[in-house]
Amino acid sequence: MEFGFNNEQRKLREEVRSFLKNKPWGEVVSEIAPGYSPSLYRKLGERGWLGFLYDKKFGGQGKDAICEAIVSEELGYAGAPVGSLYPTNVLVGQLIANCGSEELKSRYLPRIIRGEIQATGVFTEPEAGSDLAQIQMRAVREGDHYILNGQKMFASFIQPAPKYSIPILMLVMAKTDPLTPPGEGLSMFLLENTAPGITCSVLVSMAGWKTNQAFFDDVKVPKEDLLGRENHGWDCLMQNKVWYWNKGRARRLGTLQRGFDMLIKYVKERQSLRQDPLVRQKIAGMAIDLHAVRLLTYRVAWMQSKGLDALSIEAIVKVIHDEAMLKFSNWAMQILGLMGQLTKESEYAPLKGVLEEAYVGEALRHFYDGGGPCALRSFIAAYNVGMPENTWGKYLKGAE
Amino acid sequence: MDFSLSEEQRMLKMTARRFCMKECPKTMVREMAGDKRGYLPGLWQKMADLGWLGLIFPTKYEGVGGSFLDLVILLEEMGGALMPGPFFSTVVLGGLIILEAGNEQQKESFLPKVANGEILLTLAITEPNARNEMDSITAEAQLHDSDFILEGVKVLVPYGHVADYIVCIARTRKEGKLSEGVSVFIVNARSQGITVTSVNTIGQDKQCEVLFRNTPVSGQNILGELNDGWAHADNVVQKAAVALCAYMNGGTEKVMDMSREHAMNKVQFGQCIGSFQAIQHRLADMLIGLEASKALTYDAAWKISEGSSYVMEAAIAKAWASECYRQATWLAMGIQGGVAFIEEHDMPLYYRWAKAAETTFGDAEFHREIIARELFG
Repeated sequence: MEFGFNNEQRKLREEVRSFLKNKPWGEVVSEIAPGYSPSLYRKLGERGWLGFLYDKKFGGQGKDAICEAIVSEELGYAGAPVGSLYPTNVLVGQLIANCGSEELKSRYLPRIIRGEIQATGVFTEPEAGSDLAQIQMRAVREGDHYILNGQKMFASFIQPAPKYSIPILMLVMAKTDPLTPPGEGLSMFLLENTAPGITCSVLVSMAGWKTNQAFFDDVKVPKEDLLGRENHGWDCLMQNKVWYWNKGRARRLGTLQRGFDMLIKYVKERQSLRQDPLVRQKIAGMAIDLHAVRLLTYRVAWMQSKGLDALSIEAIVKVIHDEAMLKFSNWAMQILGLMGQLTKESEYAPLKGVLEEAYVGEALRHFYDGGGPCALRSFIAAYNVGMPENTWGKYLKGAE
Repeated sequence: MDFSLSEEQRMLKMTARRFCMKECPKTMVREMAGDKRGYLPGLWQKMADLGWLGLIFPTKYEGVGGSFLDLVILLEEMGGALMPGPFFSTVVLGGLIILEAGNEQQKESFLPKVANGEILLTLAITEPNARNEMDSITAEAQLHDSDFILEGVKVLVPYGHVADYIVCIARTRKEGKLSEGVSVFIVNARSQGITVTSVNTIGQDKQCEVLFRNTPVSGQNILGELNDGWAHADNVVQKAAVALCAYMNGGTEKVMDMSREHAMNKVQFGQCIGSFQAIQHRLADMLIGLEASKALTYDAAWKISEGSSYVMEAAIAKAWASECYRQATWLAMGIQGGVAFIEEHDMPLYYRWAKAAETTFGDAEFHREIIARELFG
């Protein structure tokens, strides 16, 4: 066992930290949470920091998930406006790398690695949430195309951003064989959000971020843009489930560390708080959670770098991480007291209102994104503890 | 970065698991709770032969030269089996403090005997009015010529009744801060004026009250420098806390396994209760807590093995493990139902032990305060 980082990893962290020190991001598109700076994103690509998980022949670095986690953590710590970093660089990128044809790989991977495009997974539907296998969107083959019809929910990032008109690459899951049970007969397609026939209606979250309902009305997708084999989309997603649950974990670890450091500074400067035993207990509780999340995040990255099955730990760390973030913002607001409810616009808002923002925003991760606390526990019980499978576990056979 | 066990560590874990299964059934655990000695000398010798009693001692003291991480791996298995006996008191408490604070002569005279199973040790710190181990030291050692006379009461001295030597913390300066006025002594348990009485505890292990009345201790038997004992004792208590985490994690895992088995086999409402999500989520919660607890314990043990600063990591690990184990016993009792409350069931053993271990070397609240001290001073 060796819990530390090697010299190369430490050097990488230093480089990223010093690059981000002066906030090199210029203008930011605010429609995309946590903000998106195309120029920053391209600079990350130029430095090779988006290519750790990818083969050298596509311009990647052929390195491992530990390097990826280090860079993401630093980006999170700096609060960098990296747009849909995780969906692009990890989720969609890895699915293309692991399931895509050579043509799709050479079309998209170099652009993902260079930081030229943003991507997102478009899976959820009104009737396919935690039970994602129930996807109903239809894709019908007609000649050289598939025709997609149906509705998707919570498709984030896909509303056109007028100011910069960034094309967003969508990875859409749809049913190609309607006679099959849930989790079968599904296929994945790559298309851009500007494709004719897609109508978005914006859903504004309680945190103010925007997400979308998307209606597909005879959307044409060339047959070459099918990702993986027809009717095997679900297997492909399940084989990459560890990436699906990753949810940019390391970046959020950085965010949590930054919030913690800010709060420590705030409390240190105030004797009445610093000496209050209840405040001290809460702060220490946060430090414990943070350390657990850090260890498990890097453990998953290490497992992936060794080609081990990290799925079991990934689900566990997702629960701990989501709860840690929510607990942190809750305890932090309790420490700030009444003034903690002020939003960032107020000059009296302690810590510029970031904790109020975090408390509202973290609800997303905790309760929904990528499996809520109940769905994850059901998965853990089935997959790790061996209980009868009545939720996620029953769909995983395809992954084995 | 490497989160895996080495080949030797995997071997150690496997050997320990098999040994515990064979040598430490629950019948033996129960028997030892009622036994006067509280351990089987034959078993103790087997552990010596396996090298476990000298696991963390360098080879020149007839040890194995293993690391603290190795110790943690062994203890995890022992904790799963609730292995009774003076291993913790002899190796982790008495052995470790002599290894870390002793001079060459002391190490040479005690450690090989511990490694070979010839002597048992224990550590006497806690006094009746202490809320935590190191809170209050009033036992006194007065200098007479070059020797000392020891006077005081220690409670919760593990396996004090069978120990050959009691490592005892006492004040050597009446006034002033504890950190500048206590010393550590190796006291022969058969010295005059020592009375050892067993006390009953929630954990049903062998804890003792030890009275020192006019007990003479040779000046040669002081561990470390005079008046400098606080740091040594504090250091060993913190390391022991990490070692105890491993023992506790083993228990948590066992409690989870028992619950899993019960959930699969027990049929109610026409199906095994493990098919109910309320039960499933309890099992998931046990595993979630356990995985983090193991990671935090290994991390702290690794820091200790590397000789780096470990105060923060040790406190984090003990805070987590303490709540995790106790919580797991609660969840498990809920899953396993009424039979788990019956004394013949194994759950009462774990339920009691989890609470005892939680309070030993500081509970979560205690360690959170240590963390806060590290952060804020």
